[in-house]
Amino acid sequence: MILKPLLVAVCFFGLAVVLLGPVPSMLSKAGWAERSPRAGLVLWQAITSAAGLSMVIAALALAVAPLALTFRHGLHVFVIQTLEGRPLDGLGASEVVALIWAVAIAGWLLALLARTTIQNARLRGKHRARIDLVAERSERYQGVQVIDHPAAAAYCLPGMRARVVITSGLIGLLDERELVAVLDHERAHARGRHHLILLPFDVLAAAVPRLPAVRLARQCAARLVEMLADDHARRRNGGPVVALALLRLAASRAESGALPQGALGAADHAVVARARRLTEPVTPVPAWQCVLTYLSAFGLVAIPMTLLVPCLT
Amino acid sequence: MRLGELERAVMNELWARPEGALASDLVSVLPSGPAHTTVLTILDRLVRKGLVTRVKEGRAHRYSALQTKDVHVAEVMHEAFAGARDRESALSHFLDSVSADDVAALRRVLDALDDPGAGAGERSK
Repeated sequence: MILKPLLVAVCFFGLAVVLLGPVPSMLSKAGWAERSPRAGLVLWQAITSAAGLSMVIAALALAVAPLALTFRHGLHVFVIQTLEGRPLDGLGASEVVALIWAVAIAGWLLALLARTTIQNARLRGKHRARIDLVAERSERYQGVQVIDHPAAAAYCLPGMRARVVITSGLIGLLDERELVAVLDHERAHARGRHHLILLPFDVLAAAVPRLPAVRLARQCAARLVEMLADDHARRRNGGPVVALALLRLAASRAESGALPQGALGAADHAVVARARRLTEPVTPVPAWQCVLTYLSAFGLVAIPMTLLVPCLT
Repeated sequence: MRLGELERAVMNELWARPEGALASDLVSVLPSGPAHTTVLTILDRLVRKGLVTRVKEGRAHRYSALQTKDVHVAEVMHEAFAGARDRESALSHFLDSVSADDVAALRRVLDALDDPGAGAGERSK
């Protein structure tokens, strides 16, 4: 197959535009994702990764256009001449600009990945030290730490040494079954390493904070991760119990206002969708549809990768 | 007892004693019965972490917590809930933010449940 560099550039630029435009808004409205949150998350991840990859490939294709007739060959020539220490041979001014773009996008994304990872690890480490100082280890619930505070709250501090934290206010608010359901939900976050699932969305949101599609992707992914944990709690405790815990916590929080409002500002109403889902019968997406989703997700990332990788070796 | 546990136990004792305590006072009350030198090491670490302050008293030091436990708890809660935008993703909450409309909508969802025996209307809290 002959892939002319310019054609590759146009195709991948178009792909990036589609992946950062209409696709996220379509997927955010697709009801099936909330029925199979795992498949939904995989597809969201593939879309965001493929969008980033496509931008880099489009710029690279423009840069290596004069070096050979096909993109792969051009990239190969470019890699070889770079290894020989004369990367800019045969490139005109506009190609150099495109090359700078490609390197800048890739470098920017990698730098933000590193920054977000380090920043989160530091915040979590600091918070963990504080928790360990003031929270009592619960004797009744394994691996749970209790803060003596009247406001009802439960959260998971993810990472290598994850913590599940609840307040004494929550113990007073919920009955035993509801409390166990909340703890199962939080443990699911910790064990499933859900913070890593959300990491790419955080990185992209940091890279292009103004792009609506990126915000939408992050919001939908966060919602699906909550649903993933809800499903875990539901399997052990039943959906209505989890939903009831949500309601009690929401009601107490709306009444008391004892907690400082988070920077999330406007509630995104995910909580209502979660409760509705938990009280309705489970209707997972058919297996073939899941397989199709995983295959498309794989293809979205694998196709751009196969264009890049062989030329680099 | 792990080091962190011991630090917490020492802090709890100091929080309970606003007037401060000598290392020898703590040795006798700590449940794990640590050695005097161990307690001194822990206190030293806590001083270095900025959690504890000490004043010379005769040949020993009197140690006291710099801030009350309530202040520490308030800081934890503030960190956990008033997160700046960059720490949105550092923690994951069972419930993030909620409006009065959300609560009303939640009630409707749960009222519509066929099985009120699940507890929706039964318990009064």
